Amino acid sequence: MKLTIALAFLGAALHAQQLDLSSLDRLSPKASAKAEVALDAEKLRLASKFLSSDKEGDQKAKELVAAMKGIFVRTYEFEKPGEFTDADLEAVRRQLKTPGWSQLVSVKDKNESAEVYFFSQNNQYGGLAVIASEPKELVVVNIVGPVDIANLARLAGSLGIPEIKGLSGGGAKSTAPPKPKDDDDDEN
Amino acid sequence: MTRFEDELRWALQRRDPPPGFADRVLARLPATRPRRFRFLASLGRRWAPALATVLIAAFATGLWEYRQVQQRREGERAKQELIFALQVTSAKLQTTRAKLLHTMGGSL
Repeated sequence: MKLTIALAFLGAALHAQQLDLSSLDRLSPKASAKAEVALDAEKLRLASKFLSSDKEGDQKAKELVAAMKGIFVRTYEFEKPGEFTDADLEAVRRQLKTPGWSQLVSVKDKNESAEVYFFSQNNQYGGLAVIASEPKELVVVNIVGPVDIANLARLAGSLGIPEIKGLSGGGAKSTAPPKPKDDDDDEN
Repeated sequence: MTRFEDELRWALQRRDPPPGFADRVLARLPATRPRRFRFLASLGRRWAPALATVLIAAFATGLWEYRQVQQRREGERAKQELIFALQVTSAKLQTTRAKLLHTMGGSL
């Protein structure tokens, strides 16, 4: 009985972590390029089997994916700005206001914005959502299950992910005081 | 005796067949197969179960290999999708962090 209740809670938690991105379907006809990825737990397991243990990038990906229950990505590119508005994202943002979801970061810079949310329940962290918009591009990411954001950012430099100069790989490192250097400090 | 009995006796009495009758009957019979075809037929009957088993095994093996190829294709495709998803997520987290640093003046 206790196991049944625990499984029911787990199922409910996983269901809450997975966002319904179908409201973004109406952007598809307007996009000049789009990509949709929907990998549930079973497909993640299958994909993980085909990741090579010999390649560093694949190995990192394997470790990241080990605990994940799903990863869903939508990317849209448009010919001209103004093809999507905040109203198109309202349905997704509404889900991110439900219990369990908390906003980690919200940044706006000119016409670009980025939001990062995480999901936690009963002091268990599990679930990530990213909404990144530029005038001619929209990216929405939803990860179900525990994910190490620091390790995710550390994928830079492998798997074909370019590394942005000036950024360290992990959050913990960024809070450490900078080491004294002889050369010029040109971080900005 | 009645006329009927006379006619019946006449109808049933033995008579010799007309000339050439035997040849005509034999000509109508299906031709018997030459000896070599009879041999092949007996060979087929003896080996048919084994041949059927081999064919079924070959079909099952082909089907299994086809499924393996299909699963390999699905797995490779899932792997490519996963790598793409991780690339996008990592890149967006990096750019988000860069924007945050830029907004906050370059330090956290």
